[in-house]
Amino acid sequence: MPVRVAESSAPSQVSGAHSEESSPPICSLLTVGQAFSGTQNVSNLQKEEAWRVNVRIQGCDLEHGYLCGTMEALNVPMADTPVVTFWEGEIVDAKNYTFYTGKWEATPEDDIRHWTKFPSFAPLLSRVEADGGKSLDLSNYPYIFMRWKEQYFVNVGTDCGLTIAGFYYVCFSCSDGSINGFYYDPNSSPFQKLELKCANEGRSGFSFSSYELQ
Amino acid sequence: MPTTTASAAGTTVGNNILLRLTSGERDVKLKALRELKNQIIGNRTKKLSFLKLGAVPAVAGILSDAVSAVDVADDDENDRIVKDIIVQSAAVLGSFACGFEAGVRAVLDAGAFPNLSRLLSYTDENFKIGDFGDILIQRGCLVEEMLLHKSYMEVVDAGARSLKMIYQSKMAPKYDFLQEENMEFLLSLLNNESENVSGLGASIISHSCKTSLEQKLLFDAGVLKRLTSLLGGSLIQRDASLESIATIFKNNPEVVSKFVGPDTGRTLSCIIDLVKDRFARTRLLASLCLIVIRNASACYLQDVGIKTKLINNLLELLDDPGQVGDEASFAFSSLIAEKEDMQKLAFEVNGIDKLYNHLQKGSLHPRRFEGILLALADMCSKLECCRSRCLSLQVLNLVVDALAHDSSDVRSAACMCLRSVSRSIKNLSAGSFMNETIVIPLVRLLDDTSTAVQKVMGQTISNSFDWPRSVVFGWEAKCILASGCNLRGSSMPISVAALGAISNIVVDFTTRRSTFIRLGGVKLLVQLLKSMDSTIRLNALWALRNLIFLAEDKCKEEIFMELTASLLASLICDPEPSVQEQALALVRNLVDGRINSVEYIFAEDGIILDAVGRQLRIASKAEIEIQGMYVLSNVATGKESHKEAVMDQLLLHAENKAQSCIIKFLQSNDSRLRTAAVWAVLNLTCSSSPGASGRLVELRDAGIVSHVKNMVNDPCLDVKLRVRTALGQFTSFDDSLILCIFSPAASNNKASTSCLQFLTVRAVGELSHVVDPSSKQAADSL
Amino acid sequence: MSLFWIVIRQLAEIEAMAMSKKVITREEWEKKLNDVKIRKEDMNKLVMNFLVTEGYVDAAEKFRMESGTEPDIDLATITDRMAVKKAVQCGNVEDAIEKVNDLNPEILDTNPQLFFHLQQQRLIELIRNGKVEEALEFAQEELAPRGEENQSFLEELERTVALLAFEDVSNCPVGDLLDISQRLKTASEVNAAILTSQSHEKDPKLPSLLKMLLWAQNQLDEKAAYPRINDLATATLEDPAI
Repeated sequence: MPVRVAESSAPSQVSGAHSEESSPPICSLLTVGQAFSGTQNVSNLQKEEAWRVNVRIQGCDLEHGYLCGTMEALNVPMADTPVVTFWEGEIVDAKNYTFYTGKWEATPEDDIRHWTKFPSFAPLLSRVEADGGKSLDLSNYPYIFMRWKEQYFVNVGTDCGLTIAGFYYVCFSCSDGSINGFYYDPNSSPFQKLELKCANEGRSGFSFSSYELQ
Repeated sequence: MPTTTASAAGTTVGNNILLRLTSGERDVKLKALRELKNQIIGNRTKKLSFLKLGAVPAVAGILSDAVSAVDVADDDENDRIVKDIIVQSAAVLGSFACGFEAGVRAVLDAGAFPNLSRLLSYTDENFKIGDFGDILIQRGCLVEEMLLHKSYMEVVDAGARSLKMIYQSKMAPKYDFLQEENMEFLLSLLNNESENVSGLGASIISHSCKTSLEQKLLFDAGVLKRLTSLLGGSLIQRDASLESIATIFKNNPEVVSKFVGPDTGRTLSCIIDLVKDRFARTRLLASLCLIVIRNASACYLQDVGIKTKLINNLLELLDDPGQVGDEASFAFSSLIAEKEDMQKLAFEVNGIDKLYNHLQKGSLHPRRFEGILLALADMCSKLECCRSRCLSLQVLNLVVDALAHDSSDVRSAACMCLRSVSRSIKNLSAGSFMNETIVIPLVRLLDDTSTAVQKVMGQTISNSFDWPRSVVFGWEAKCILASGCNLRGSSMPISVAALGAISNIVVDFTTRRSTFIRLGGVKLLVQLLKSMDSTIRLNALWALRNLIFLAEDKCKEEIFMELTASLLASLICDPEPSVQEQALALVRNLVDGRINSVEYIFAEDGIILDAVGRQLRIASKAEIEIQGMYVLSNVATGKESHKEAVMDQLLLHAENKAQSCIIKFLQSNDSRLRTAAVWAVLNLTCSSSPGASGRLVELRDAGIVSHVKNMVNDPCLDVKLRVRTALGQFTSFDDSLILCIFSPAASNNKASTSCLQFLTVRAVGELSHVVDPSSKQAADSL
Repeated sequence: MSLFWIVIRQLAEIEAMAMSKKVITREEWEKKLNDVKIRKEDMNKLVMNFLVTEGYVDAAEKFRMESGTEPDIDLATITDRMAVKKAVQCGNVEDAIEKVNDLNPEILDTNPQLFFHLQQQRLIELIRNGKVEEALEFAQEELAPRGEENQSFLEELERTVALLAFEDVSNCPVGDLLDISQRLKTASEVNAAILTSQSHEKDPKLPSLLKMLLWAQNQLDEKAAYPRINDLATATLEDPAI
């Protein structure tokens, strides 16, 4: 078992006067090409159910707080193939995006209700409630908060019986690359939980590819 | 044959005129001069044929004689004819020099320049002989007073006009601002009431002011004040002044910062007003002035209103059917290039749609076509909203057509446009670019040997400075444009421009790489890897590296067959560092993916791996080291034998074991390199592999482990977290080692002996950094 | 992604576009018009601008004396300009070219389109006068090289040379080139170029103001009924049609 490093230090605040680049940590586990696998819990009152889910990061632009990739759901009822969607992510960096969504039918209350489901959000709550988290310097915080919004179905039509109207509140752990998320869509079952682990695809260790656009 | 008859007749007429030029009768001579003038004005063909007949030296001779004759003109009648001869011969010479480089050369070769200069100081008495410098001896009483005589203005104007034509060519002699008297003379020209004379002054500045020292001298001499007052003058004065102002500011933040002070409001607001002038050319030149000011530093012209006005103005100028419209897109590009805020504004005023509307008209002049494509390329370089708009308007269809255009400049611009649009990961993911309509013409361009020359200022001028298009703009204006927007590179082979676009579109997340391979793309790219030109090698490698990113096994296999291990190994050792880096990045992607991909690096007796190891030991650039370290790190995720091979590269080949290159990387200032190095250590000691504990001991012996431990509080979060994982991994071995040492089966094991040593040393307290209390306990219990 | 839960919400809002036009009576309208103050000098300048631009030098001179409005250009230059314009209108194109070159040699050297149109007009005049051989030679010698430089010139040249192919030019598809209107077109192009070289606007302001008036009335028609000006020559206000 790897040692779990306890991060006790609360995130420091930006001192207004010399506000340095507060871009999020560049975590090597959250870079292009990295794959994650796990489940999305879609249980409702009638029955317990979970899909197997694979995610791959395809693009990353920290300067603009942007991340994107694909999400593949494997055992989706009614679908005869795995369903792949393309999503774009907003990284909460207090520069490009804050904890408040401000769109996609999410009210500040919805935002807080979802973020607080992540234990790593607890130390930030008071500042977020005070000023939306604008004064937070998250660049050394070992968790990255994001919103992932699916944009289109890659391999199936819109008539596949699934909706991508909602979006995910996501929390990524920089230390082990695990991802937790909650799907939010006023017209879908609430708090569908996404749980993913960094996948090393049969290797003993982690390998990294890269591309560079011109 | 009508052709022969016609030109024969033409030659006869020409010879006849030339003959009459030599006449002793002044009236005959004057008439011939006028006839010659009316033949050549506006007519390039005639200029050329008269040039061949030797008309220029003949007319220059007449001018010279007439200038000398002024002194001896005995009566008014004679004086009048001499004056007419001067005016007509100056006009002829000016027309030869107008937008016609061969003509400028002939006029200069014929020695007409000093005589034309003398005309500027023509008086009612006689000529004061001397050129610019000498004239100053009588300055003060001269230029200003003399020219008040209206009847002589005609002579002065004729001289100034011709000189202005000459100064619109780069062949004109350079005016030396560094001499004080020259500067004073220049000021007197600018102060002159004749629009042709003051316009000439401005043309001289635009032509000859090149260095930042000259810009500063002109500024300090108060030239700007004069130029500002000319902004309120006639059309000629205004345009010439705007062009000069832009010249003085161009790429000179120091002068601009001096200018943008408290009392510049008037000049600046004057220029801003001229952005809405009724003449299109004036609007363009005023915009250019503001662009050079804005480009000097982002802190000028911050007002959104002005920025929007500039953008709107330039977009509207595209409607101008002439050269102004052609050049407007280049000015637009220089305004928005690399500036996201400007691109956003341009998007908000429907810039993409407006540019598209022009593209849609079809049969555009190549210069205009190129300009619009480059403008689109700049708009789409950073912002996804621009790219989406382009795609939804189906601009790509037109861009793809342009890839096969006759003009190499247009082809190159189309590649740049495609490159910008294909930066959209969203659309790359959807596979929007990887199809035959785009790939076929792009791949075809890899064979294109022509060079797009629009990037080089000098060449721009020599190639395009020809009647009739060049006459609207002097070459200075083109330089301002050229330096503003086309700094992207020197003369760029089309294949490089195409490679830029290919590099992007081959980033494929679907399974369409086969399209590219099937269409022969890989074969051509591999050919280009053998190019003598390092830029081509670099870009071809770049494309292959992106193509191989997350590629499926079959594609990798096909690509590797073409590439070969030996070629890859030689590229890793390329003399050009950027090529080395790209080659290593390619290998890094090659060995990622399914675990059997690691085998590629062991092909041909492992020459690739050896090359990587060697390059890591001698490299001096962090980028190369990072890519190299990731290659080793990726290989270290493979089987035992793979991990051992990496160990060999890191330890065995090091000249001095204690000086393994990885230690240097762990201590690097570049956090990306530290991260890569720690990942290699992590993968080598990954607890799931059986030989990990042995490798850990070797790494400890080489001093690497202690270096990792020292990094537990690394300032970079990523490094810190990796190091902590590594430390956890190290200690987990301690626990399993204890079991291993005390299990009877392992008692004869060589590894367990060294493990015992390791743990003993640790027990002494070397591992004081380790935070896990359970492992501490284990150590204590020993 | 998720399964749909409950699907459709109906939005059944139909916007009633009660668009009723506003009516403005003649009295209201005239009151509003009277509230707009226009200076007499500005009106005079407008008139002077028209006279100068169109080249009515005598009228401009008289108007200057009567109204005290100074023209924004040296009246002497109008005479030169008018001489050029007249030469083209009478078909003496060569004469016109010489006059332009005397006035300012840069005009034709920097204005290829104008130069081409003048040469084209010369060709037309040669054809008009039945000088077929001379016309052919001129087209070959002077105009063909221009066509090589510019595609649109080539097309125009082809159209012009086509005149030679018809027996009855007055009734041929390109006959319009022989119309007096072609001369006027060329003349006005030269006029505009000279004006531009003198830093003067090439079109008088008055017609564009009238165009603006018509445009504004059309825009307003969609929203209101008001006393319109239908006859620009008399500028009488018509009662609003309700």
